[in-house]
Amino acid sequence: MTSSGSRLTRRSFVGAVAGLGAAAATGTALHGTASASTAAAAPAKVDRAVGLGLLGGAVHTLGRSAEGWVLVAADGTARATTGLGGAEVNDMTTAPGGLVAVGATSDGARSVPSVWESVDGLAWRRTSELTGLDGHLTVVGSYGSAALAVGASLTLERAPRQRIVVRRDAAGWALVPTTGLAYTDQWTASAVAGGADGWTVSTVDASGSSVATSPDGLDWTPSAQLVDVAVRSLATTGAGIRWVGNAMGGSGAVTGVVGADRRPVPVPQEAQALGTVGDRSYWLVDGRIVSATV
Amino acid sequence: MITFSNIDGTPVYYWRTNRGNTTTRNWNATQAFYDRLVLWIRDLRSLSSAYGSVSYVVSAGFYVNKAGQHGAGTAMDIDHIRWSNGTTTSPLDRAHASGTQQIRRRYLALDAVARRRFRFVLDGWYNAEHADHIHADFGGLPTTCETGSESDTKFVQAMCNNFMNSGLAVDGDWGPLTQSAFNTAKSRLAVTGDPHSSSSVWAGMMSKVAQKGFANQAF
Ligand SMILES: [Zn+2]
Repeated sequence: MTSSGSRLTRRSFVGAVAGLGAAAATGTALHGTASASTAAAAPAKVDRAVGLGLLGGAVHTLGRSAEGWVLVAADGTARATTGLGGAEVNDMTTAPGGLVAVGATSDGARSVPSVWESVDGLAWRRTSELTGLDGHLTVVGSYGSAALAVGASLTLERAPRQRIVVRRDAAGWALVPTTGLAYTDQWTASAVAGGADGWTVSTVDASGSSVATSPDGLDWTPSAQLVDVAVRSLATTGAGIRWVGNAMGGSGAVTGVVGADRRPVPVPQEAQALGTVGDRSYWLVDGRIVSATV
Repeated sequence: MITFSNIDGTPVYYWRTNRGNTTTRNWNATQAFYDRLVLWIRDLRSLSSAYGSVSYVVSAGFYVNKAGQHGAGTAMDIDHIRWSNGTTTSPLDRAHASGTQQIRRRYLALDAVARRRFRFVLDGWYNAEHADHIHADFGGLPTTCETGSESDTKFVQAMCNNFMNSGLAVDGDWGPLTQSAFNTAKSRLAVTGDPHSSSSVWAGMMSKVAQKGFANQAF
């Protein structure tokens, strides 16, 4: 595991989901051919997990396994999904009628920003694609009947080129023009949240996160800069805008309120923030999901 | 993913919150990316040996919790390098835009070393976001010089300007003037073969550029 002379201390992401035995570790637990409706809940190895959504009041995330995207419950059990194929899925959240996920589908050398929706988290259907754009959507949030996804068009080298905002209203998903976000064009959107007062988005540059707010998702105002953190969750609380994320100098789990101090979250050092539901933050640790109070 | 605090024995620090900080950090990356970092730093040591050893690297991040190569644990942001004889090169201080040619050449040398091992290297000429660091990732491999790449083209234009006084616009557009200057550079550096199709030819050319840059020599 280690290169000679280096001091590698830990390997993460390679363990199986919580409570798994040898079956999962050898990759036999999941089969991509299983249909969504009949797939039994089974443990799976995931090397990546994106987003948090509620199904029947229970928290789930989308995990990427060797067999494709799986719906992972908080206890670690996973079921195969259909409809996402080999897509780049970057975020997922609860929305009216089920779950919504965003990312991109590949089109040769280009990638097409895409939105998928699902009633049960297992059968996914692409409900929007921004053909003609080479880019991706990286975060999605919802509030009431509205949803907002944020991403970027990409350069040949896959660096963000220009901000993309897509909004869902009664008529469906539509690319919307924005003002006040151009300063974030070359940065990656990492969190978006809706609330009674509108929308909050966070983008990440080399130094940290920049938070901007908007009453409608169209006209944006810079709000705050947070050094040394990639914010993955935003929530408006009585105390202000609460954020959760990972440090960039190292990758420790951290939370804080904009304008106030930050503190470490009591999860293992390599925990990767997935988001928050209510007062709990959720993290991917060594292929497992753990939660903590924030 | 693995956790590391040094690359092949060279410590990696974080200065974005506190310049000069030498606290150990637990960085994350995939094993494959870390293995490539080892090759990169061995290249760097060997090509800059006149400066002594590489004392430390300063980074703005490897694994970063966001979409893309950083989120996959397959990217690095370089802020600063220091050698044992006291020499430094500092993308964090926008060395690519320094008024001193020697500082720009040393930055280009670091840039060239990264291009030996990484195909997508984004530097201060590439765009505003990369004005204060050099980004290198696992995208687009293998390493060759692509005339359709804005990153490669701007690097070649800046290289020709700083080592040959070519007077090119650093615009990312590979036109006849850039082609002509590139041909001259290949000739002066005794590069044989095609850097656009052969990784070994391009990597060899980058070693020669790095040696010239660290030695502050025109070509
Ligand atoms: Zn980077």
